[in-house]
Amino acid sequence: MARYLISRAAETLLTLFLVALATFLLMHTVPGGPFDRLVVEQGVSPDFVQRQTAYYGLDDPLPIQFARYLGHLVQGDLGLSFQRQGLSVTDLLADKFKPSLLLGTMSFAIVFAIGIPVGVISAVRRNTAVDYASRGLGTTLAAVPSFVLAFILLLVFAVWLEWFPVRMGKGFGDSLASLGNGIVPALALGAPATALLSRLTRSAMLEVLDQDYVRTARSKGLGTGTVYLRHALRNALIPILTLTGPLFAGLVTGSIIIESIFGLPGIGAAYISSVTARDYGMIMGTTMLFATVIVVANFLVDLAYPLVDPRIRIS
Amino acid sequence: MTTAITHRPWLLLALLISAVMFVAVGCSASDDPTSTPGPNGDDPTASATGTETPAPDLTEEQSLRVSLPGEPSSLDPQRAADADSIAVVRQLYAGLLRIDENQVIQPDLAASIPTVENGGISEDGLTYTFTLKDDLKWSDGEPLVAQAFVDGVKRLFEPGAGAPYADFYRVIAAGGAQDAFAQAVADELEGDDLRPFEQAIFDGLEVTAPDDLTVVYQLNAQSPIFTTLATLWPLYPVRQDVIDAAGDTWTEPATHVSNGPFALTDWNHDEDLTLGKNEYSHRNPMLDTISIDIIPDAAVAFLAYQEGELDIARLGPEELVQVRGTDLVDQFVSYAQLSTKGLYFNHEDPTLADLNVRRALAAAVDRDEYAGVVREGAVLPAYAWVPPGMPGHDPTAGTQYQQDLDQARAWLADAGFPGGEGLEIEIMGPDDSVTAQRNEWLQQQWETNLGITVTIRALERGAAFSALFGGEFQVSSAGWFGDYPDPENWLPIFQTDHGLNLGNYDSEEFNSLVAAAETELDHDTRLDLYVQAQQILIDDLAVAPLYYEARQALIQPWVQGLTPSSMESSIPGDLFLDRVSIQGRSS
Repeated sequence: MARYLISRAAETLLTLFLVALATFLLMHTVPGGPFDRLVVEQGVSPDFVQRQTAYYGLDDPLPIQFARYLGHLVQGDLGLSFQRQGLSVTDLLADKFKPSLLLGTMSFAIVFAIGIPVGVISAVRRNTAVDYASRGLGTTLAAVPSFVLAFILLLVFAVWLEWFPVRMGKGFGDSLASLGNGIVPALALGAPATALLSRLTRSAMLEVLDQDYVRTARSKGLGTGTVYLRHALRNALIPILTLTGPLFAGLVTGSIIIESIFGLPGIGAAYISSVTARDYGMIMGTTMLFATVIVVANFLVDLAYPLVDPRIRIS
Repeated sequence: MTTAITHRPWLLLALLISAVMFVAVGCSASDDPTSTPGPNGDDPTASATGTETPAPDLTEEQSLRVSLPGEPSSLDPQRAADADSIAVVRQLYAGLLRIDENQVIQPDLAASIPTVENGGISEDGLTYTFTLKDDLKWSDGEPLVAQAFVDGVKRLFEPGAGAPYADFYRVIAAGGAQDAFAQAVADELEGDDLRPFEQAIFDGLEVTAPDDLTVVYQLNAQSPIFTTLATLWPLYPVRQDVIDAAGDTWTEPATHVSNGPFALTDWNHDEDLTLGKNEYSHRNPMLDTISIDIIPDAAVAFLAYQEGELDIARLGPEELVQVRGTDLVDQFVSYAQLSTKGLYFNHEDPTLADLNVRRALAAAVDRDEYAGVVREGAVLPAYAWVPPGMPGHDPTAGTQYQQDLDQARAWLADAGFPGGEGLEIEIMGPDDSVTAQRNEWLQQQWETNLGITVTIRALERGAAFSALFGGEFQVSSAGWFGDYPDPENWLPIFQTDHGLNLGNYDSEEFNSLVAAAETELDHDTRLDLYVQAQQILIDDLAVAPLYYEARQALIQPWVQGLTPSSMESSIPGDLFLDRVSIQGRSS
């Protein structure tokens, strides 16, 4: 176990280093710098661009800039944001990640709370009206672009029913009560994943339900619930568990579409705007954060396999 | 459990279907062509003060709820560079002078406008002395003294990262030090090597506060626009003690201190800002609070406005269409902005270096069609670069390039491309929807009317700016938005050596006219020089003006005293929000 952890840690560091290197190179290969926008859009003097470039060391050779970045990174310093003058990337990330993490977690819970039961019922009642309905809805949800779905939900819940304000995301995460306003955005965010998960659960269950041991369990006279939930579902969960890591990472790293429609200031919108603004510090910081979330989520999933399937051992 | 699951999806599906139908009905209802809200082009400072009869009494809660399209990058007056920051900084600060709704300079914190007659300007025109009004205070109640203005200017010229608009104020710093700096840049010194030169400019500043009520600016050359420059945000005073104590995060609400009609009470980044009435302000605004929601998506702001969550909403092209034929027309305003969009030609491109090619391109497009049909009246056709409403606007400039297809084809033939044969032009621009639509329209006009081949190179925003800045384009479109109402802000950017001369235009005659105007103190002579300079600019087609921007917004009937302006920043009426009151809004 200890050896496993050490080798995983080494793998993780290597992965993060490669992500940092690739992002850094790509970011500097793309034309345009952080201050061009001010010149072209705001008529700011090009002298200012030159001074800023020198001040932030952006005129140094790339290897030197990268080494400097890594040097600061290992000390936990992610640098300063260009777009939001004077603020540290660490503070900005903390500020932006919190609502996305909360919303993503809510969404994750909704995805599992709906996706798995619907998938199980679809499989158990295969080729009935229930199955067709849930599959039809699943296909619809997977096919409708999230901005369309988000606007429809906004219309229904904020404009017609008036259960929520139009800007549901406003103040989200500031208080326990504000979390209630996150339900609709969380639904919109999780809709495609819910559809995917229910389909995956359905097909995994169907496969398992045809297995001999399920037939054996049935013939032994075990109750339906015990057969489906303890014997069938538990084995069907293994492929689903593999999906969990990337799914969680995908949900908590935010969506610019959901965030901008519901007015929720999360990391997705911040990431996109940092790319547009060539805010190098924020681009690197956000990418590193995302990479870490994905690596950690996958690691936790690996640790969880033995809990579902005792045949799997970590070594 | 089974029933619950089977019912819920159907319910949702039913909701989805009816929602789609609602959207469809909404679209067809707004397609009514009979009532087109047209822009109020004749009067650039059209004032909208609500169209319904206002209730006589003030609503108890004097709060204005507006939106901003983006997060302000800084609320530090010397660092604010983008329109969203400037819109807020204007509420938080006040300067020595102020431009009123008729674009006339008025005293604000200064007791009077300095002139040679009142002794405010020295005989040689190089020393400006401002006397402050008595008893000015900061939002924390501390007295505001003249040194705060000196501190502000110093921050503008601090060595290091630099301030975005320091360039406006080159006339304040010592001339010799600046020449040395320019020479150092020309000698390709970079980074730390430039520091001593920056330091020399800083040390050479001659701005002093001989007593608490007097601030003196020593200029290095006569400047006809210094009083105009004194109205702008980079010269606003600052609290150096607060900045020293709090560091770069002094602009957070806990530490921010300002001297304008409002003070910063709350700022949730990327979410909202709340400004409260500054009890110590000399202006005494009627509003108690301004709450500013940051809403990047215009469709969401429009929805929030319709739900009564916002008092003012700016309209994008999509929202404009939806206003038509609805009751919202009564709350609709459209007013010109001091902003010109034009075709930028790269004068170093061998094809476009030929004046006849540029002439053919300029005269082949129907600007009325673009403004009236493509943009449905949201912009106004332009021929002159300096827009209407600006001193130095010449309505006759550029009219020789009104659409004339015979003339355009003749010019094209003169350039060696009869019938457009063999001429290929590439338009470069960012990939946003308005630019894409404009470039496709240009492509269609030029291909149809001139028979030339036109390709479009759409780049991601940052890449497009970089290409424009680096001169990597043939034809592009770019705009200019007035920072202050003076042609000095509009024409020098086309001087050969100017950093913003994106198309590398090069005309000795133009350069010398602009240079002469920059130091000419006689108002009429000066404007005449600029009119002449613009004539050359347009005759040469350094740039081909296409249209003047206008702004469309919805204003709730209970908002009283809102004064939209052609010079405003991101929020409609943001130059004069201290006059706004709320009358007759329920709850």
